[in-house]
Amino acid sequence: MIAWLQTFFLHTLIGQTILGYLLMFTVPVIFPVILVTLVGARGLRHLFSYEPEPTWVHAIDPRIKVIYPVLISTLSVLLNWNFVYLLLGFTIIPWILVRPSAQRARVLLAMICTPALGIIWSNGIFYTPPSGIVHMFFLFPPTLSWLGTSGMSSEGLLYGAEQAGRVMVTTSATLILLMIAKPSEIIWAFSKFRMPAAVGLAVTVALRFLPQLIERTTVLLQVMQVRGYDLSRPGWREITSWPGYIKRVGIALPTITVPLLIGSLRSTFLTAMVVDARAFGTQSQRTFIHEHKLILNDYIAIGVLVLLIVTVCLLLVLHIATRQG
Amino acid sequence: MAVVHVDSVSFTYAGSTQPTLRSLQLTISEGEFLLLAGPSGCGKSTLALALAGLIPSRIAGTLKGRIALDKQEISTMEVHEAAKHIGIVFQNPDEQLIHLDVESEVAFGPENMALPLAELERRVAQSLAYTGIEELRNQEIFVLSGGQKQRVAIAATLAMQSRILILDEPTSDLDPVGTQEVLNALRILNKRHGWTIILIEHKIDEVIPWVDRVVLMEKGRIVVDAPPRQAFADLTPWQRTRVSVPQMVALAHALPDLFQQALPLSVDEAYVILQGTAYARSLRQLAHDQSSRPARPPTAPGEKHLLSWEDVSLAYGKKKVLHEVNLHVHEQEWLAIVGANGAGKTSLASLAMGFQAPTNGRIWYEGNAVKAGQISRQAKHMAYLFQAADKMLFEATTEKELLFGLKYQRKRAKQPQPLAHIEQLLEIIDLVEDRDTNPFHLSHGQRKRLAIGALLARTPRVLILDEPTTGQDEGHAQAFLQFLQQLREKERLTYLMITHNMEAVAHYASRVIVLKDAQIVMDDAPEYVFARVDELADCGILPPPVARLHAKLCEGQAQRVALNVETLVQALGSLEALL
Repeated sequence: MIAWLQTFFLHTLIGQTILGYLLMFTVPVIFPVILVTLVGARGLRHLFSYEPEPTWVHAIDPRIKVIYPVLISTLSVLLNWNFVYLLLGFTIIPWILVRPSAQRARVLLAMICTPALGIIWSNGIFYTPPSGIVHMFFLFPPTLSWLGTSGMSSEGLLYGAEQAGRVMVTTSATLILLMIAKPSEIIWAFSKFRMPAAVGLAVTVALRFLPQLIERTTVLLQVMQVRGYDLSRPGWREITSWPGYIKRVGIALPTITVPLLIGSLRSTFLTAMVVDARAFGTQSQRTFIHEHKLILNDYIAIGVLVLLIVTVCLLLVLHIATRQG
Repeated sequence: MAVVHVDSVSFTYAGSTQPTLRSLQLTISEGEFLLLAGPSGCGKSTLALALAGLIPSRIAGTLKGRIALDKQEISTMEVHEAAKHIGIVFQNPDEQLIHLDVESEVAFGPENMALPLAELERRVAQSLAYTGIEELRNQEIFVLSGGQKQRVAIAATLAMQSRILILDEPTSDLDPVGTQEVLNALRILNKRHGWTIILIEHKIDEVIPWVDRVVLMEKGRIVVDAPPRQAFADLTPWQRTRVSVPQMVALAHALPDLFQQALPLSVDEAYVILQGTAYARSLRQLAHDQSSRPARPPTAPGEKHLLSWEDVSLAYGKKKVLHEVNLHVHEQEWLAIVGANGAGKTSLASLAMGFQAPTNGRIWYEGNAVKAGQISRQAKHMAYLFQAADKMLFEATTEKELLFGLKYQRKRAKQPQPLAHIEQLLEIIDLVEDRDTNPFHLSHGQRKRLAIGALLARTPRVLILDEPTTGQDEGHAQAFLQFLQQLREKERLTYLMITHNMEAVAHYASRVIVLKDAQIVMDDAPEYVFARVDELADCGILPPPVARLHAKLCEGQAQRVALNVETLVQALGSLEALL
């Protein structure tokens, strides 16, 4: 049976066509489903919220928290892909220390891994190395020539994995900032780096109102369904119902956009008036109720980051972790 | 000492031809507690924005006249300069809190002013103390109740050191407990610390005992401006503007012989006047003589339920929202679901609509299990009217709005809808003339009716009403509830109403359930539930003033109480005949 299937899918035109279509279209269809199922609106709400916990990582100086994602992202660009995955391992350490809830961990994994898998897949299909020499992992049959790609290549998959590593490192280092830093801390750190106060406020307002925006979207989708708009997913066997479902989902998005936009603009207008009334931007300098001073924990964190930088520099100077042209 | 002078002020919004404020003349003295009342659209909020210096600097329009703070003109001040003298707090606390924790929120204004650390600390501590939320200083905003959030907003405003505070319907989104928290904080600020308070509020009953002065506005003009007792001496302007007066005032006007000496503003004042009278003794005797009534009988065997919750529990992690709830709803009931915020009211109703699945137990509609996530299918039987009707409208015309749900059903569920059905709907919601009008050009009341019409397009038998009167003045709220009442009788509908409006419960509901700590703790007709004043207080519920007066006069012995002024007057009238 297995031998027959192997022959059918790899050596017959019809089998190769079916497999080619599956490789080409299953992934872009499945990824949104994975995101909606594993993350969903509630998951996104959790993802973008500060979680107060009495951990060592939470207590670190806000300046170090803000520098951390910038530094890690920069290092990931410099390193070759084997070391990028080592760096990914390094970024997991703070996550272990803050011990996120199971729900947040699930959402986080979905948010980090799903785009990474997408990058690997798309590069596998569309990447062409500068040399032009590729080893096809699966060659599309002539029936799929209209796709403009000859198939899935090993070089593409490898390159995709390399890029995906960088994306995962950056996402992991950035998302932890949202979990461990209060907006007031971000504003303070930005001010210490002499960045415009408005940038800090923009980050604060985004973090404060993003969960509300997500909640508003959920309510609007509920409203549509209460009005009879069917957004329930048909069963896998109800093949004829799927085009209608996809069409309804497609129409739903612009339909909720207008009320969502109006509601958001109203909220923003009110928030802007409140910010004005609180004298924001009237002084060139701000003061803060909490001035953070570096303590032993911070020096340890700085030490670890300096050690990381030195290690990366050494690896680069010694051409151990240098990216290939 | 006068602090604010409003001198011949008129304001016309950009794009509008009619002025919203018309030659207003008003002087507010230091330390006054002023209640600003009036129907929707009379100009209350516009006046508040102008007093806070947000008009015309942030809201476009033409301002004529002068608003002055002592000798400084407010309308020419920068917003933050005006905020140092006059602070404004809006309706929705979530939209005016910028930070994620209480301390950062309160410190935000003084930090922006670059004040020294010692002054920052002093202002934050003082503002938190004045609003009674010192213990919340290190709390995250998202764990706070609505009342606590609103007090944080007030504290953040106080930290700007403004001595005048304007509050635009600060309690309209709050439950009775939250309302009391906010109003008590205002009372303390005014009476103990001498703040000048200008309050726009529809819940007049709860605030009137502390108010120094009442201003009633109508069509951009001030029609009443007097101390409370004087303001309510003549009810004509109040009746004309359809703004409710305190129930005790209405009672006193209905029984002038009993209240000859003074006009009572609160239950306590009315009680003092009535307590020694023969009426009070007779009411007490009557309550005592009433044989004890058995608890509400359980459902008779074989009786059909339209909707049932069987051993339903709902939890988010460790937090129990509902715990082993059993509830049966019968056809054509008007069931009110009441309780403090977070008691599980909305969760209970949303489970029936299929918005989410219970952790345990099942919900049945006419013997069929409700499936979570199948909202549009459940919508064939039940409908859910959300708090903000605006959120429910998506289309360009009234007629298209009614056809919206029918258009996007699954093909196999589609039934041919005769055009007559839409005609009938337009008649029911009284919008035949507006079939081609853009829904956002309709009035607030019309939009609410359109939202109901859109839900009725699928001919549901049960309607869940989520806070149907929130944000509406008394006149509009009454008109909408009357419409719902007529609709229920005509279409034989069953209503589940989630509400904090106890007057609406008293007037319209046939049954009330009270939720506390994730369970139903009371289930009876409103006249019996509202007699249990002390138990209700534990659940964070304040019965209507007339029910409280009746219960107080009967010294807690009454099993049932009058639900409105007319019933109490009738009861006292029949006693008069006996005496």
